[in-house]
Amino acid sequence: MTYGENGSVIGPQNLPTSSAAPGVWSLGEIAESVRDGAWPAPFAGWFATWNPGIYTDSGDRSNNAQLGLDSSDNLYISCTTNDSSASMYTGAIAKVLSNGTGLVNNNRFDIESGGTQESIRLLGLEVAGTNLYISGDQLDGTGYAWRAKLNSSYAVQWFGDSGGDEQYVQSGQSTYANTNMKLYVSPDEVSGVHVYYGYYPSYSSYNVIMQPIDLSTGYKWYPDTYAGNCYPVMIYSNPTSFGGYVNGAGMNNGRFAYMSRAFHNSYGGYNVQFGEADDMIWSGWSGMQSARMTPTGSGGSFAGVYANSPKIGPYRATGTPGEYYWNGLLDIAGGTYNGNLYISKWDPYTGGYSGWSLGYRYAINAADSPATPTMFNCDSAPINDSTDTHAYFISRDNGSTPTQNYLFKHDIANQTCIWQRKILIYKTAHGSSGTNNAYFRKIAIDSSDEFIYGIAAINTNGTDQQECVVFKLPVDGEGSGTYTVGDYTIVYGASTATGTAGDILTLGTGATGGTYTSFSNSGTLTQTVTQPTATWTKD
Amino acid sequence: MASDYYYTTGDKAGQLKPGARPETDSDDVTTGLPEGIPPQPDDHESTPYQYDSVAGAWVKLIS
Repeated sequence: MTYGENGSVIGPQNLPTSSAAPGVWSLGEIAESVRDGAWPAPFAGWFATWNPGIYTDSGDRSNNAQLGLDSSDNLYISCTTNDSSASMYTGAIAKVLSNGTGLVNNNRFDIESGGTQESIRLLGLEVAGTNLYISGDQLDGTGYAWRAKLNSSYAVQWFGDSGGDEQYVQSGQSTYANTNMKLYVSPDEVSGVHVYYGYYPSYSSYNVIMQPIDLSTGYKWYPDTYAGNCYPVMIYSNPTSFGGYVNGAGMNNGRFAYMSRAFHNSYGGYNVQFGEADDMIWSGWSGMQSARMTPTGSGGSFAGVYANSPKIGPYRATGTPGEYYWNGLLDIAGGTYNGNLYISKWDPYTGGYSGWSLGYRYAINAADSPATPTMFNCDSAPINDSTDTHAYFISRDNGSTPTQNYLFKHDIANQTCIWQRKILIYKTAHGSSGTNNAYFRKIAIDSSDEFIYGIAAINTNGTDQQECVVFKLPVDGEGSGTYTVGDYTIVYGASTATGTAGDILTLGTGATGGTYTSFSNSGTLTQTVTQPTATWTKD
Repeated sequence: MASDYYYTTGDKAGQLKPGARPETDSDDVTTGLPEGIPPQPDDHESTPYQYDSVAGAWVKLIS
């Protein structure tokens, strides 16, 4: 295709591309090339900062940022805010205008006991349909986990099981959550799995339970709705003193899966335990397919090689066998691939626990950073586009001064990297060379596979900040540049991590876990939603 | 709802289906700590910790 005689007054004829159109062009030539998709489009992404405006004194901070898109691609964001002088925590949730120019609303979510504010962390935000499913914990005294459903007007639809319940792994024992151990929901809003951990005296350690619940009511499937069929599951270590935690989990309309950095004396110490079940965890532990892996290389042995914080993301396909598929994302610690970021597809439907394939690993390139990073870290689960063709994932390096994040677009079936971009965020006044971290603990993709969204809590110059950074970036990877967003500088550009295809997992049985029914729930907590004034700044 | 691993109806209800499911029954777990691992911190009942094998130390999960 040609566009007129010549695009340039002097010199050879130019051709426009999607990124550049040098020379001089007639209006007709521009119209033709726009028609053919060969004209540079304006960058439709953005970076923004959000200060929820709840605790705004010096030293106050925001953490545990989360986000989600509803069925109309409305973007919701959340975080925990901390009043440092009063040691008080509470939750913040906001809805972002579709063009990113501001917020539709900004909300403070408080929990009260007997009319007195509780110190609570909001750690999970899952959006399905037009509803918001939030979860977290309480940090005063004997901690507890909590979960709630809000509608799009932030009205509480249910809280806990019976209108105000605190959740405990065992009665009287502290129970907590984090951005990995939180409430997960099926997109069809049928089932959820509330993941939280608490002290279990019999094991002398904290251990996680995965509690299946009815999303329409907030009640547990067992024993409230399906007594004798659906059961919570606890996983633990061997010896048990090491505790049992979930580092990553996910669910789609049919299945739930988890991954854990796990310890077992018979399997080289630390390794990775993983498992999957249906979305209601029918039959509890005995209905769950769990096993172990170590990223030592194919045919290797369990020798203390593990992932620091393994993550798992569901496929979007519905029905059998598509809903059984998962992507695991490992930040490898130890062994030949120490520091690598490794993605692999799990097909338990046809391959059982050993059905892992299409592995691909990325080795960090220190030249991408002003510091000298050696390792990737996983803070967020990988996500798939609507056809399960491409996976997107973000990873944080260990450069520290500064730390950068890396966003990848990965072709699953062809085991290739489509593009990779690095993201550096720092408070302009602090400069980039201090201790500097951005924790992206959730990413999402819109329904038309056009944009990726992410949110991070920020630490610059060694100090947690009140602002979270939110991005909207096109799936074509365009938009390289330096962005000034209020007090922050964000540098977005190409990175050069070295990619290599290959399966490096050694798999084995011996997972440790069990059906667990000694949990406890009780309480008459109340909730209040108010609207503080937030500060939103977009580039 | 049906289970992938167990028959839930009929004369085989409760029995394991054939397939690729691994043996997931937990082995006999032990308590205590292996040799060379420092003891759990005194406040390990009220504060969750995870053992960092690189640092050789127990690290708080909530700071």
